[in-house]
This record gives sequence, C-alpha cells and structure tokens, in this order.
Amino acid sequence: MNAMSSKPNGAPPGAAFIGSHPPNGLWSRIGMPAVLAVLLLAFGWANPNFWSATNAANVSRQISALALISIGQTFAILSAGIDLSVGSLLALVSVVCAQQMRDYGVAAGILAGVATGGAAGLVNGVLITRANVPAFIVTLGMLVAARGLALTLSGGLPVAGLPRAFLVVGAGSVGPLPVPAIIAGGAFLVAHLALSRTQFGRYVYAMGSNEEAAILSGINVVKHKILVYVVSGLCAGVAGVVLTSRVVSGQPTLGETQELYSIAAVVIGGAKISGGVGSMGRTFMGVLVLGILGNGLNLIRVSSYVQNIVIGAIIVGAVFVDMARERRR
Amino acid sequence: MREAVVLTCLIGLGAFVGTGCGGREPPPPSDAGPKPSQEAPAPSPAAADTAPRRAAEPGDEYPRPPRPARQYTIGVVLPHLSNPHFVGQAYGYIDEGQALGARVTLLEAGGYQYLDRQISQVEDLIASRVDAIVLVAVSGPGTVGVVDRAVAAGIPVINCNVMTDSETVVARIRSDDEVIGEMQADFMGQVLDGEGTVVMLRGAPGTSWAEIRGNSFKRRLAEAYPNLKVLGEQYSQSTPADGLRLMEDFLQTYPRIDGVYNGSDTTAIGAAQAVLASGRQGRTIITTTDFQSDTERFMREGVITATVLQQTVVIGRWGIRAAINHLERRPTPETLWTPLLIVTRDTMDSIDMRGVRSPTGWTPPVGHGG
Amino acid sequence: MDQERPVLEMRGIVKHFPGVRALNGVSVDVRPGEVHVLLGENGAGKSTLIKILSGVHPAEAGEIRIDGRRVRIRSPYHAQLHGISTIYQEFNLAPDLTVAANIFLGREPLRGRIPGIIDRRTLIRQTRDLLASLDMPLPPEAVVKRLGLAQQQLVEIAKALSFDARILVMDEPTAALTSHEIDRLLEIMRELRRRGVAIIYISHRLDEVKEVGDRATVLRDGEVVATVGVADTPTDDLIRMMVGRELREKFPKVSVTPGEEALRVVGLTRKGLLHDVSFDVHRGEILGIAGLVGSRRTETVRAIFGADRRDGGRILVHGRDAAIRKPADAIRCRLALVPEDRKRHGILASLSVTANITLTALARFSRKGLLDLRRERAHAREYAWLLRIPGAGLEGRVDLLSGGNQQKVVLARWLSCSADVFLFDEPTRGIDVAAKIEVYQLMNELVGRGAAIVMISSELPEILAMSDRVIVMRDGRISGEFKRGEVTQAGILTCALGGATEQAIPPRNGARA
Repeated sequence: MNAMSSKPNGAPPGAAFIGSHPPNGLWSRIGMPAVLAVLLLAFGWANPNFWSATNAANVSRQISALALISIGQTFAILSAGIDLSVGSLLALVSVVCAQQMRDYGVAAGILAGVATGGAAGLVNGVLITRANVPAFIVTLGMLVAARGLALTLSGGLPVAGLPRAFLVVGAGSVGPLPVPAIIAGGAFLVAHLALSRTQFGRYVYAMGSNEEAAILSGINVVKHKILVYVVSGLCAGVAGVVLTSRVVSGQPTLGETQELYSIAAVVIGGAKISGGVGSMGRTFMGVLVLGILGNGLNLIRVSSYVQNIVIGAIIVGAVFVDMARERRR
Repeated sequence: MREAVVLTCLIGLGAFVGTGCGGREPPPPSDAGPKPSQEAPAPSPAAADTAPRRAAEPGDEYPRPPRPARQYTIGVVLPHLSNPHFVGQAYGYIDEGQALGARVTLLEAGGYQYLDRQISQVEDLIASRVDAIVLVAVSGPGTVGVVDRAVAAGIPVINCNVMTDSETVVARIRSDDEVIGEMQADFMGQVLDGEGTVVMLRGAPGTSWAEIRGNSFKRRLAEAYPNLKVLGEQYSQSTPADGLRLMEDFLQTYPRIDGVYNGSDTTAIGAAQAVLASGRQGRTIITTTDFQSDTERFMREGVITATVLQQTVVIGRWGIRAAINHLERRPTPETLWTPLLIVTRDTMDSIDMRGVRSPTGWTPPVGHGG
Repeated sequence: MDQERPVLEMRGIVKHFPGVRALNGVSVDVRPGEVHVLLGENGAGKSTLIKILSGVHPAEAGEIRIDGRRVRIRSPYHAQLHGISTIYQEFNLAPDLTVAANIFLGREPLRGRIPGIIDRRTLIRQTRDLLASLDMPLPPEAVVKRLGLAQQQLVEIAKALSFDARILVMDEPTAALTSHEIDRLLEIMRELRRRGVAIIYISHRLDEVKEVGDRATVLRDGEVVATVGVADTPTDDLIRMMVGRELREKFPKVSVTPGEEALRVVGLTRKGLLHDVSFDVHRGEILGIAGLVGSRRTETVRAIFGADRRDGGRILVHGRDAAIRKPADAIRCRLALVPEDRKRHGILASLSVTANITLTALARFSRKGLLDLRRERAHAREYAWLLRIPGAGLEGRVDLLSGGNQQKVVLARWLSCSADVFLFDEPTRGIDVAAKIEVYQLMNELVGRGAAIVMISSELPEILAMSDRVIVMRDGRISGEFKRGEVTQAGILTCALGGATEQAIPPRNGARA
C-alpha cells in the first residue's frame, strides 16, 4: 500500500507570510526586492541625481496615484475579476472634486470626489453580480462612459479656480515625506491588513480561487464582490483627489491608460490574472518597480517611447518567470 | 535564482538600449557665429504687415547674447512633438543652445492630455538640477504648482508659446495670440465683404493659445464685422483626424459655410480634406496659423486660403536667449512677442523660412523625451 | 484470436504526478483482433496508462512499440497518425458544434482546391453514412450540447470509430448507455475484432468484460498484478486480484441504532430534472443513493443544499421546515455538501490547507474584525490531526496533497462548522484504497456521534457495504428503496436500468457490475 503523504513545501511550519498565499522557494521571498535593489544601484550609478532626497520625494509623488489605484486593482484581480475603469474614474473624480471644491470648499470637494469613485464602483459591482455581465465587460463600459461623463460635466475644459490650500494634498510634505506618499503608504497598510487579517480579505481570495466552492461554503459572494468593486472605486476616488491637487485643476483628460499600468503593477508583483494568488506587498513591489523604472529611465534621458517597450517586456517577462517556476514544481 | 538574473538582465538591457538612444548630439548650427550683442528693448507686436521683414536673421529683434563662459544646462519641456510647429521650436531651442554652448535637454509629454506627465518631467528636471527650464505648458493653471517649486529651488522658468498662470515665471515669449485671432478675423472680413457664416475649430481645450486666439477672433468679428455669424465652434486635439471629423460634421449640419477659423494648422489640414471631399473648395475659405508642409501644399492648391505665420524657430531661439540672459544676470524683458505675418498663396514664396520652420530633413534628436 | 505478434507493446511504463507514483513499470501487449481488458480500481493507473498511449501525457520511462517498431507518441495528433484512436471517459466533444462537426473535427472534407473552406454537404453525407453503418440514430446537424448524455457518448464512439484505427482504446464507453445501446456497441466491437483491430477496453462491468474480453490485465496501485485469459478466470479471482485482499476488510461498517429524523425531503421537484423526490434520513444512519450516470442524484443533493434552485417540495431538517434558498441557509441548518467534483467545487487550490479548512468558520477566529491567525492555525492543526491529514504541509498549497487528503480537507471544513447532516457526493472517487478506508471510518465516527449521512455513490460495493438503507434513482425519480440485508446488486441494477437486464450474470457477493 503506498503511503501517499503530502510533499513538504519548503516553508517552515508557522512561517509568517503575506496573506493566505504561501510563498514557495527563494525567488518568492527575495526575488522582487533583489530586482529592485539592482535597479536602484544601476540607476544611481548611471545618474547620481537619482539618489537625492528630492528625486526620491518626486518619485513617490509621481507614483502615488498609480499606487492607490493598484490597491483597488489588487482586490479586483484577486477575486478573479478586473477593473478596467479606474483610469477614467480618475478623470471623473477630478472633475467632480474640482467643481464641488470651487463652489463649496476643500472638504466638500474631497468628499465629493471620493464618493464619486465609490459610487462608480458600486455601479460596477451591481452590474457584475446582478446582471451577471463579466467584470471585463462591465468595467470596460464604465471606462468609456466615465470619461464621457467627465468630459460632459466639464465641457471638455479643465476646471480651474481651486483654493491654494488644496495644493497641500499633492504638493505638500510632512517633514521629508510628501503628502501623497503618506496617503498611498497608509492606504497600502490598511489594505494589507484587510486582505490578510479580515474575513473580507479571506473571502476575496476564496472567490478568486474557486468561486463555486466559495458559494458552496456559504460565502455571500454577491455582497463581497460588490464590496470589492466599491473598494476599487474608492481607491480611484482618493487617487483622483490626489492627482487633482497635483495638477491644481479638474482635468477630464487625466488617467488615460492608467488602468493598464495598475494591472501591470499587480501582475509584475506576482498576482495571477486568474485570481486567488497575490498580495498587497507584492503589488507594492510591482508599483515600485514601475515607478523606479520610469524615473530612472527619465533621468538617464531615455525617451518615453523606449520606456514603454521596456515596461512591456517586463510585464511579459515577470509573468513568464512566474509560470516557468510553476511548471517546474 | 536564475530567473532573477534573467529578469534583471532584461531590465538592464532595456535601460542600456534606452541610454543609447539618448544624448545624441544635435546637428551643427546653421549660422556662422555669435552676433555682436545689442541691448534692444522688447519690440511691440507686429501689426497686420503683409510685406515680409528684411532682417539679417530671423529673430534679430531680440539678439543673441555673447557666448557664456560656462556651459549651462537648460531643460525644455514641450507638450508633444507630433506637430511641425513644435519641431520648429525644437530646432530653435537646440540650435540656439549649440550656438551659446548650452546643453539642452528636450522632453515632451506625449500630448495635451498628459498634464501629470509634464509635471513629472519638470520635477525630474528640478531633481537633475538644471540651470533653467523653458516650459511650453500643457495647462495654464495646472502647471502653477510645479513651476513655483522650480523657482523656489532656484531654477528660473521661462514660458514659451503656452503660458503658466504664475507670477514667478521669469519671461514669457510667444506670438501674440490676440493678434493671431484678429488677423484671421480681419482677413475673413475683408475677403467675405463682411458678410457670411463661419465655423471655428479652436484646438486643444484648456490651453491659453486656443482660448485667446479663438476669443479674440470672435471679439474682432463682433466689433468690426457684425454680419459675419459664427455658426458653431468646437475644441479638439490638434490632429488632422480631429479636424477632418469636426469639419465633416459641420458640413453635414450647416448647408452653407463661408469661412473656417482654425486655432492651429493641424486641424486646418483635416478641414481642408473635408472641404475637398465635399467639393466646396473655392466657396469655403480656410484660415489658420502656422505653416507645416501640408499647409503649404493646401495653400498652393487654393484650399487653405491664408495663414498667420508664427516664427516658431524664433520662439525657440528667444527662449534660450532669455534663459541665458537671465542666468548671466542681464536684464530680461518680462514679455517678448515674436513677429507675426499673414500670408496667402501669392505672398508665401517671398518669406524667409528660416524663422518659421526647421530645416528640411532635420528631426529632433530621436525621441528625446520621457 | 490469432497468436501472432502483438500489434502494440508497452514496456516498463513509468509515470509520476506530484506526490504520486501513478505507474510503476507497467507492461501490456495487445494482439491484433484481440479485446484486451484493463481491470483495476480507481487510481490503479488504467486511465493514466491509456492517456500515455493516446499522447496526452508523456511517459517518464519505458517504451511503446507498434508492430515491433519503437515509437514516441508526443501528442494526441501523433497518436492518431500511429493508428491509435481513443474513446475517453470524459467526453472530448465541442459542445457548441454539431454532431457532424465534432466527428470530423480536424478532418473536414474541403471544397475543391480552395484551402480551408469546408464542404458542408459532403460533411453531412459522410456523417450520415457513418452513423448508419453503426446503427446510431443521431441527427448529424444536432448541436451536441443539446443531446442527452447517452447520445453524446454515442457521438464520442462514432468519432473514434470513424478513424479506421488499428488500435482502439475504450475507457468506460458504456457508462451512460442503455442496455440496447450497449448490445449494439458490443456487436460493433465483435465486428472490429473480425477485422483485426486491437481493442483495449476499460470497464468496471464485469459482465461485459466476460462477454467480449479475450485477455485481461489487472492493475493495482500502478503495477501489473497479472495478465490472464478472461474465459479461464473466475470473476472472484479477478476481483481478488484487483483489490488485493478480502472484500470484507474494505468496508469497516459499524451499525448504529438510528435516532430521530434528521432530514426529510418531500416532493422535491425541479422542472425537467427532478420529479417528486422524497426520502428521509435519521441520526446515526447512512442512506446510500445509487443509480447510473445521468440519474440526477447530484442535482438532488444540490437542490437540497440550495446550490441549485428548486421548483417545488419541502425540506425539513430535524423536523423543522428549512427555507433553503442558498447554501448559506443550508449551512445555518447544519447541512454540509461534499461535492462530487472535488477540484472544481471543493478545493480552493491556491490557498493553504489551513485556509481551506477554516473557510466556513472564520467568524470563530474574528476578534474586532481581525482574524486571529494563530488560533486559526491551531484549529486547523487540530482537525488535521483528527482526520489524519499530514501536518507538515498545513501552510502549503492544498493542491499538493493527494486526492484522499484533499477530500479529508473538505471534510474538515464541514466539521469545523459543526455540521450534522452530511450530503456526500461520490466521497471516495479518485482516492486510493488506504484513504478510502479512512474516509469510511470517519463516516462511522460521524454517525456514531449522531450525524446523518446521505451518500451518493456509483461504486456498488461501497453502497452495499456502507449503507443502512439504499434508494435508487433513475431519470430524476426514485425508482427503488431497499433496507440493508435486502439489497442486492441485481436489485439495484434493475431499478437503475429500468428493466430486466438480459446479459446480467448473477453476480457473486461484492462483484462489481
């Protein structure tokens, strides 16, 4: 009689890991940070300005919006869905936030902006769960419609006349840390906690891993899926407010193609598009890779066209490496 | 671990390929050498002058300063490089930089809709500690924050062509957008005998040039040619495809259109194609500004009737000159108007193109930007 | 038939899957015109062997020779080129295409010299001719997904037969067929034998085996036990070779005095699928549900659990009317469903074993909204120990465990939330013998503690040995009910098939049919 025991997976029992997804092997644990370290060293050597405090502050400001929408995207992708609308939501939030702020003040503007993001997310979630239309299609429709709405509300023109106090959100700093970086960093911490230590987070993984099994285990998949998209919308809301402050106006043209970069960040970080695998920490790494890459290549004066080629190669490369590892297991 | 090496090599390879594309030397300058310095006051806006200027070099109204002792680095930030207008400016920036021994870095944001990218580019220039920044702003209010930050970091900012709404800008160099609008209005008023219908393709929304030129066009019509009616106006990105689409829609909507105003000639090219396709050339006149090669062709064919020539290369040259003057602590005028000229098919061949366009075959150092 | 040289030889085939040694040096040879039967329990390696032969998996060691020449079969297409045609147990049909399109998939007749354009008319004609020659009354233009299960199986068979293969592999081809269709198929097989085609035949129905088989190779735990002549070997011996020990040891049944009623289903109906299904189960009782594939047993328990909708009927749990509309309701009534398809409906593959076990009971570990990961791990460890799931890999991915252990993880999940009415759908499918016994023992413990179990199974020995009562379903209806001691295989089969089965040889105790 064969004794069919389970193969030990290399992780010591009780090892801490991020989320429910167990790490396997060395690459899983230090691969991404190693790549980041190499990037930092390479760019620093190519252009010493890379290592300055100003540059670090700049980079963190520049990627904070992408970081925020990547948080929402992580939830969506982990649940075996996707949110293609986040780029356009940035524009919609920006316009609404600016218009309300111009007429009713900073607080009203911020609240209106974030709420708009959440509302759009709610619409996404309800259509996906109740009307049973795939997430790809629903969020694609929202991508188009939200931008149209942003252009309609603003008449195609930027919304100016924002109070100078609002500049703090995008341009201000608390000590050495830029405000957008604090916001994004805080959001990451909260999201990480939610994903790894709450029922909601566990259910997100469950839905993404095997939705049918999740239903059969009594999980209210409808409610939790809607929540996922509301969260994604809220993240876009906060990101939109931050961006609006950075550009000191409501811009209906913001965020074009940003949804694709958020997906790229999540995927480079090691999440699977099919759902159930990934974590906030990994997405954070993915965002850092994209941000450092962009900034470093800028500083050594590589054109944005070539940058796009490099980023495309990284996306495919990262997933290829991941799948190659899987196959060898 | 093998995969970590592969991934890093991929990134490294990409980075070094990219570096190979950057930092290429611009072509040698076209003129003989530095001109003697002249302290000249800022010239007043060119009037509706149909006789071409006979200056020794285009742009001599604001002459080239002596070559500085040290090499300055100047960052030039443009909205995009898909319009020959900006290519003309680019030639001006780079050629002038060569002549004055300055190291010019050219960046472009990829389009008027990428405000956040332009802001990032200026931030990166601040971090690179350039000596001065020349900015063609994608948005007037939107670039205020980053411009103020540059100035606070000790880097003077000069606006060319499209302005930032901040008082900290050291100098502003542009064609007088008001005059561009008025010139088109006057031309149309005269050719159409003060009567008829007009549509407007205004250009990129939210930019100062689109706003000011269009508004001054309308104002001039209202005050001098009250029987010229504006039937409709639309904003769009500055591409021929947008111009074509909008013009087709206008032609569908209005049975008779006598004149088409254009904020920039990229939309005029599209409008010209639409007018040709509908067989209305000769009956619908098209006015615009700028003079890329397709504009020239359509003017020779008589589809585009008149254009207000901007001296785009001069804009570029004056931007660098103002920067150098400021860095060398010479008094720098706050506003500089580059000369304007309205031309038609009959007058266009007698113009000195050196101030208007980059030399044929010149391309900006490949894809300098990002 | 002929004592000639074998047309097919497989020597020393070895194949691993993660954590499992599926084939350990298996050698089989088949002569032309022979029907060579592969016997063995689930997990013995039969399916793996024929998947290697038909090019789905590569073997890690060993060789395959056709007509004495060594071949390397790299893909199913390759296998076809070598004259091997396979009828799989799980259909390989494209549900949205027509019968004709499926049968000639990849070999469509083309129109004239224009590349790539299908000659529709010829396609239909060829299909019609083929089906007529096989005496299969199927409309060539019917869309496959609208056909019944039996008809789909016929399409699958027709497709394999249309290849004019020299070696035909059939994996449980009669699972969904009625007796008339089975007769027809056996006829076809005899005809093929006459033509010299070599046939490899996998079936659990020993009566069929006896009828058409020439030789049989018995596999057990990935190894060949023996190759024997079918006619010379009594059925009992075949069974003993398959199982390896006396049948009685296989089923550790412990009888418990049934207590009060735990679950009663009255008039369960779902339009077109279930018709007035009623039964009850008591505490301490195991109710077996037997029936053929397609008798809608799975749909029944899913409807009870709220996973599928129902159009009528009542469900009473512990005497009280339970308004079950979705699984969460059923769970609240302490029902549990261990689904048939573990991989698709049970296991959350990318999560850890711990997460899988605690999925239904997370509320227990929540304090102020946050999960106490340490308590969660302790809980999982406790249940893993209880169910004898190896504890070393608790934080590892659950899909690294063997099938048996995975099933235990699913069980642990239900134990975690204190279920006491269990609906098992094929609980030991795809599990090795040792793990099966563990599952049975667990079932005994459950009913010993007062739980009630409803067990769907297609393995008659399992049903006969473990159930206190048996109900038989056919076409969504209950067609028979037996008490332990009264129930026989013949009895079950009669109710399952809906009539006397002419070819049924009176089975001895424990024989599979």
